[in-house]
Amino acid sequence: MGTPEEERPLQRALRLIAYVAAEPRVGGVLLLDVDGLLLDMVAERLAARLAESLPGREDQGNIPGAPAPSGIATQGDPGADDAVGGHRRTGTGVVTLGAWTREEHLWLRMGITPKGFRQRPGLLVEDPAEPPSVIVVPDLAHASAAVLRAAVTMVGATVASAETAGQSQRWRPRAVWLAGVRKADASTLSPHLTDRFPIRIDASDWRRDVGGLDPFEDLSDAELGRLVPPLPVAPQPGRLPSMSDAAVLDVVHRVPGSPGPRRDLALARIARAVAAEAGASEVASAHVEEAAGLLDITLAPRAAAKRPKGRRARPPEVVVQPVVPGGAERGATAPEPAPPADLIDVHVQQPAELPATPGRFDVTAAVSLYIEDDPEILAPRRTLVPEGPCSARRDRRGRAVGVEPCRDIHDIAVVPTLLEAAKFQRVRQGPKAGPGRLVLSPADLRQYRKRGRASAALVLVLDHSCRGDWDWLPALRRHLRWAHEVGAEVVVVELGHRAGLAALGAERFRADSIADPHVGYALDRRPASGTATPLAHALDVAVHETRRFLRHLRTGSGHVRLVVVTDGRGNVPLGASLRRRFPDPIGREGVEDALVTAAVLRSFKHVSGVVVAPEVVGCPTLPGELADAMGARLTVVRRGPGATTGRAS
Amino acid sequence: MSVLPYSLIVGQRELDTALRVAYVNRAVGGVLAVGPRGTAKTTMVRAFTDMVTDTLPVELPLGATEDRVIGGWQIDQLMKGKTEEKDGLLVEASNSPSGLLYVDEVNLLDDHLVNIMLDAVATGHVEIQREARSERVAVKFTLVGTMNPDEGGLRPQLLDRFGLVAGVRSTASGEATPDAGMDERVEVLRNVLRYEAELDDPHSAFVNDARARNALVKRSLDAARDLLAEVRLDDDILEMCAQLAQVFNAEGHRGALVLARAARAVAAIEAEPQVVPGHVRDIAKLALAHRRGLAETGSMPDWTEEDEKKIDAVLPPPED
Repeated sequence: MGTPEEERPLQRALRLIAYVAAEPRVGGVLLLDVDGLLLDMVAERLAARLAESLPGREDQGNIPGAPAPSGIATQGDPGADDAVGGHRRTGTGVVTLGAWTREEHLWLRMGITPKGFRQRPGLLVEDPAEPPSVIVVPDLAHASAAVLRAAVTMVGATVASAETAGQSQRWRPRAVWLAGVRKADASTLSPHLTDRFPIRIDASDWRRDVGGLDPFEDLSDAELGRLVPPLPVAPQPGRLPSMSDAAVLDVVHRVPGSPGPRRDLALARIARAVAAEAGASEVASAHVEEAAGLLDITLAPRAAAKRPKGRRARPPEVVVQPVVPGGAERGATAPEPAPPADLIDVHVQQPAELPATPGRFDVTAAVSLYIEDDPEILAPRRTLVPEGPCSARRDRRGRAVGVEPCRDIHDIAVVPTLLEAAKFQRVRQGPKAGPGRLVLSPADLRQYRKRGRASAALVLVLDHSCRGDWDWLPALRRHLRWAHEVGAEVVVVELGHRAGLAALGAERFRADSIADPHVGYALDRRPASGTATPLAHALDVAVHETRRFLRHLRTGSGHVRLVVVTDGRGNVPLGASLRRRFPDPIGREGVEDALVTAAVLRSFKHVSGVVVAPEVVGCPTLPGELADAMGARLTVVRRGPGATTGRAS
Repeated sequence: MSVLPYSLIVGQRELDTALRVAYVNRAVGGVLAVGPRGTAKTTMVRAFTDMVTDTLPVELPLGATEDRVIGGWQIDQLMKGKTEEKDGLLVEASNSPSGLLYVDEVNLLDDHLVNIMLDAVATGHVEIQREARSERVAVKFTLVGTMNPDEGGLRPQLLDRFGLVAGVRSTASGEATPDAGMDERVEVLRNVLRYEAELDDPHSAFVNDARARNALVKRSLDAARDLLAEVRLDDDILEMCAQLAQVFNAEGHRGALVLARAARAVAAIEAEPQVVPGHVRDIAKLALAHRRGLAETGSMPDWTEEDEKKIDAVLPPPED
């Protein structure tokens, strides 16, 4: 095996993955800009290695005291291996997950096997008698929320469990996850998720390594095999080398800006695999250095490495592209009617500053593999809240509110089906009827009737303290009309309409539709005599409500429209609202808190934001700042009775 | 069992205290651990349960279906035409040795499952009215949840059901944790890697020593449980608990009750015959931090010096 300097990127990556196979506790591997075909081949190589080195054993994945699933067909049963739902479980133990994957694919599936009507383990449920699988997610940025949630709870975990449809399964996860993501999309991944993938590989040069690859070329298995050789030899499981003090200190003191133990442990475990391969009984500094080289982690020089306690190192520098507010573009589903003539929509966009030396503005050279370390990244991030299926099929999720005959076999309600069948057993089986046998008829098949949910929501923040000599209804009318047309659920967040201590917080109520009379009352409400404007708290509530809607909007076409009516002059800090304590003194903290809270909204997908503001005399830029922070559009309405023309602030 | 022994877990003092207190006095209610990614929240909960009961906690995973939470039928038996009931996770947790129901990433749990849990915790019963079952089962379990606040807050009703909330901090976040840092990171690495290397060695002094320390902790916690009923809780302490709940604007009486019960557990853990103000001080933050002011969104204001001053205003100065 050559030194890292002599290796091509693909060779080096294969070596690193071989070490991952030897240290499966290390966590997931995230490959940036990886070619899908090459990813598949690498996964098959890894699966072959796992099958050689970690053959299934009855005692490997069992957990003492864990419930034993009963009546479930195992992977080895005829008909158990399949490609249902677009997932691929190859004979080599590779499972592919993606945007099409739903919860029921992962944990427990119903189906008809050659042995009859059987439950089968989901794609992520492991059989201790089988070697560990390789879970491949070709595009983590666009994988379904079910996949992301599974990754967060399973990758690197010591225990996994599934509790679905009458079955209780618990196992020790041994699968190795390989996920791909485009560099351009990497910043959209939740840091919570990427933390589960401490091994990062820049795979952008792999195609060049294999001399170019035409995805449409029909290569034979042998030709493909030559492109991606088997994984290099790596140590077999056995007694692991111990960590020397020097190696431990190197991992801790020489890695700048490590965000937590997972990354420390990943580096140390790869170093241990390197040491084991070298036949060493103890991990030394040289092994850590070699592991860091494989992981593209730059170690600080040893002399300068020891940092004073309590001081955080700066994360690796990352060049950040200017962020363009995309509220209108993100998730807008229907063309907007033209705004009335008295309103002007102002698309807030800060001019991008050119670098002082344009010739050195080299993005590719500066992009870190650990992009989540950069606190400046503000791209819309995926949340882990569940989403619905992306197809136009009717919503099969949500709360069951009854049972109905099946329309298809994709969503069978097991117990109601069996109970329906039970009624007719004497008739169907006649005198031979007895325990241990159940005759099912297609007419028995039942599915749950699910409570319907709106596919859109309007979150309306009304700052009554900015009401005065202007009418907000013309500016709101088109948003209210939209909510009516799409049957959106509505939540109204109000502030500035209370006096005393209550004025320090915002209030919200939910309505099934815009037709709820309380919405009308809120729009007509008059401001309180006080001066408190807890805008930051109102936006905090709006963030919470938006998250909640995103969790419930079960269809892929779901959309939240967030309309904030305010002049931006929040004067109550969020902490003061949460503590119900009057701020003293009143400064800009309330505005700053509002901007920080609003910035969270920018990170949500399927949300479009609008700020509706009156002309602000004292602080004319505040509404614009707020819209910018939210990634929203700005609509400015001219004050004064009879005013019909708006202008941009 | 490959769960890291509890005695090998580094730092996380607040969660450690909360779990011990909730174990000694189940009336305290549940424990919620809130912290960023990679802070061993889940490991700690599993390791603690393993230490005190030799089993893992009953877990309610994301994606669980309603029948598994409430209870249903043994499907395989139904397929054979037999009817055998299957307990749901709430009942399983209630009957488990630890009496714990653990929800990892509790803020990502589906709302209707949260509602079911809330009903069960509030009433002490699970109503099973589904799929030809109609019964009411008494349940009593301690709810333990972990969450990363980056993914959103908890509903206030659920937050209120957790008796204690523990902040879990990263050992790597030097600025946020002046008392933690490099030394803790070093210790984490040493413990985890050595445990992995020696896990299968029955003669490993390191592993055996860790297990022996676990046994000692368990013995002391069991002794505290036995002592709990004898620990005196005087009226002046109760009054301090009520005052603290008031100055922190805790709505309802749960804050004061939890605080008093938790202080009593702290005294029992310290083998003291009666609760003193110091015990209240030790646990006040965990019992009250999530009950301060508006909890509409589950957002919790940071615990600041101002909060410490409020405690100082009610409790006598700590004795050195």
